Amino acid sequence: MDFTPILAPSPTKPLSQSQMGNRKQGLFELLPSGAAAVFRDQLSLTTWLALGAIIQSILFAAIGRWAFLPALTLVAYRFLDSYLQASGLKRNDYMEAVMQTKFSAQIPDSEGRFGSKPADSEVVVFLLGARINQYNVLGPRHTRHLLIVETNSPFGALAPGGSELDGYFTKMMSDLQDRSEEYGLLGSSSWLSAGERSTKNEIMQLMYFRTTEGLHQFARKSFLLEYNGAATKLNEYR
Amino acid sequence: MNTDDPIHREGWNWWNKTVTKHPHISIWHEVYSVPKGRWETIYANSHPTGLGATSFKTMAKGEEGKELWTRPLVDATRGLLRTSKGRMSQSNATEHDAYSDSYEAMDVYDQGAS
Repeated sequence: MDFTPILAPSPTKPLSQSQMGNRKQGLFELLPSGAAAVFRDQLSLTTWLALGAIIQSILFAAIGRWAFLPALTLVAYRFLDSYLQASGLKRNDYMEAVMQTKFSAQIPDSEGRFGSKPADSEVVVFLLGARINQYNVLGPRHTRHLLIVETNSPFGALAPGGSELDGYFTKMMSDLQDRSEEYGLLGSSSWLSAGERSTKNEIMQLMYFRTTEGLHQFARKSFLLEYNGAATKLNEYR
Repeated sequence: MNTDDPIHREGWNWWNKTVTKHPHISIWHEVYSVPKGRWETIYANSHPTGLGATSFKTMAKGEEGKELWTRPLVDATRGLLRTSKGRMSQSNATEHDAYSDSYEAMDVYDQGAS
């Protein structure tokens, strides 16, 4: 008997896990969730608290006891929201897309059929990691590189600086999306190491490709993109 | 990779220079090329993640030109996909039959979820 899919095919391409990190999620969030995770990891919990305390002290010096309000409002909102979700009065955001059953991932054929033989295709797993190791050069620019890497691109921590950066990463990302079939890129997700050290942990992109040929083609193109830096060269190559 | 390719060679030269210029940044990769039948995946009460969060461009049969994106998630409460050995074609997946398995098949498909 053929394996039974548990999700209906979609007429549009579903977002990859990496792409989900490009969205701001939740009220009062300042950054897209992927960038926020990396940003938060740049400083320790005590440093963040101390920074907040300094801002709060300045605010208190400026406007007196009303300085209490913004922080109180935020915490009250978050507490209430969590309480409503935990008690079932509000839809639990954390259960979004969770399927309460037991399932496996199998690779469909070109018509979306799964057949009855498990693991009936090869699969290529690509792990790409980066870490910043030095304080005195960790200016905003480097943090920004890392944020861009984390949220937008599986490549590029070493990209030279300059105004072409944004254009380059945008190009890179859209190239990856546009040509995912050519490269046989099946999906990607972004990961932050869980506390190997207290701050500035390693980030990693996990990607799945159909074949090593596709991966090498992607790597070669990425090299060219990084090397050229600018879209014009990319167009020449195309 | 072919380092005789001039464009690629140029890329490598740039890369080496950049690595020297930013010695405080670590970068690495690992590649695992896994032949068919040598991998298995299982998810319980999970959201689509990992290989399960990928998508495949497929064509609906008889509807040429109509593209669909198929998720790789399939029911594993029955048949060969119940056990690790079954998922790697090394058994008929009956080795856990002595233990009860409390997962129920859920037809998410019919609910129109995507």
